[in-house]
Amino acid sequence: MLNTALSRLGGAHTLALLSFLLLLASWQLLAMLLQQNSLPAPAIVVQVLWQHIISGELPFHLGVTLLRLLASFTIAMVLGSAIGIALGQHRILDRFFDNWLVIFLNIPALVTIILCYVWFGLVESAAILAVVVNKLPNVVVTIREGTRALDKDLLEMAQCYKFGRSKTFFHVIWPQLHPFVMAAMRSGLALIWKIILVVELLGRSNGMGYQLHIFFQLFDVASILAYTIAFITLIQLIEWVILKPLDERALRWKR
Amino acid sequence: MTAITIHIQEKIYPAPHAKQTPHHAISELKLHIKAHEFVCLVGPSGCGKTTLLNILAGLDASFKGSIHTDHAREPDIAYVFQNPRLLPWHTLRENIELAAPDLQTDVLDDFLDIMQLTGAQHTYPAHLSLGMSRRAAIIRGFAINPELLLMDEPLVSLDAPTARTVRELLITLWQQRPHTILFVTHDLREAIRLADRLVFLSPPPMQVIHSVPIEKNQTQRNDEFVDQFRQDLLNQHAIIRQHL
Repeated sequence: MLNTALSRLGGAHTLALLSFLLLLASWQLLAMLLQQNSLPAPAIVVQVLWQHIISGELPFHLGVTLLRLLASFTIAMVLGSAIGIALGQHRILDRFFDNWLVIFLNIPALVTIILCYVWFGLVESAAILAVVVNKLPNVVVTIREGTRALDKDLLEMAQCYKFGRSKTFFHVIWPQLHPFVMAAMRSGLALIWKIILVVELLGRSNGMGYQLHIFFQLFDVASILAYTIAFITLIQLIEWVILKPLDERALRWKR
Repeated sequence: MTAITIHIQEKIYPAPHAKQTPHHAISELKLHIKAHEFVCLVGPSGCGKTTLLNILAGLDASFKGSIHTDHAREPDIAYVFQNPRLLPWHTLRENIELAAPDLQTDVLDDFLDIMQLTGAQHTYPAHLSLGMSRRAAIIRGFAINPELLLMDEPLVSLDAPTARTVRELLITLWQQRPHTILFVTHDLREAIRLADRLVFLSPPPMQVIHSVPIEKNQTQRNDEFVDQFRQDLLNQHAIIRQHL
């Protein structure tokens, strides 16, 4: 009964919208019940968000964080892919560096961040490095798995038909690594934007993390929520505008 | 026009453990293939036919021996694998174009036409039947215009009518665009339909035990001819009867 009623409402989009409205409504209800500054109502948060946007403050700090995210993400992906492919292809190399990888995977993010700031000072490059070091092992492990799973038959075919290095990479290896790269990108994005705020909070004088730190000291929950909404929206936009189309383009050959 | 001389002195797979003995796969295998000859290698399953093809294709370099043409260098070789090995993220046509970048468009169109794949040329391999993928893989082999074309049971695990169609199309293609072919099979009937010459192989260590030419033109070989030829062969040669 419920199923048919819901499907009559128009499928997935309507359902998503309904669930979103429900979330909003429960937030509103809770805020009305509590009547406290620690949980402002949605309308107030939206108002604060708007003020932060028109003052130019939020776009600036969001932009700074986004730039850091872009820089560290790119470095981690490129470097991690290269190392991952190398480890996946050479067994001796892999065995040799395997415990390094395990160690780096298990260093708490906070430790890397503190050490980077202590060793290199409270500078931009230290911040970026801290994020990269946190993200890199995950990329390496994912891409290494992908490289190990490469189809030997297709590689032999490429060898036989004299594909050469670049053709083999772009037409035989890369398409097989694609799902692993996408997985690394998705999990990477989620990981990086969580870490990057801590990095900013501890050692930078701009960016989302820095702003949140200030709001925390002022107990300004409305601003914290406003920044959070802006951030979530941005990350979701990246997923919709960049990652999804990338996925669909690359997987059009699948059944 | 190139004839090809193959002489594999020895191919040994080392023992995986110290206690086991190494596997002696090939020993003193000699084979001479004339230009544009269609040779079928017939041997029992597991006799090392694929090992031989991998050596010839340059995928396995750990052997003693030589492969050369009359101009004394290694021949250009194409390999039609048992599984089609098409790249799933490229269409049928793109798969052939990638392997044979120098192939002219109209020649490729012609290939596709002969193999009846014109309608499927922009289809991804996941949507092709096995028979179609096999035909595409055969075109890919011909497309690079090799001096030697290796085929590893390209008709196996097709249902009988499909196998028949692909076989007939292969003969048509080969007669229109003659190539030197080394075709591996364990199916004697299939070999008799296709080959200019049958070469029988022994179980490991593999060597040539017999070589039989078939004079009659491929297009004129009907079921009766194939059955008769096979029967005569088995009656005359005890050694072939033993091994098949």
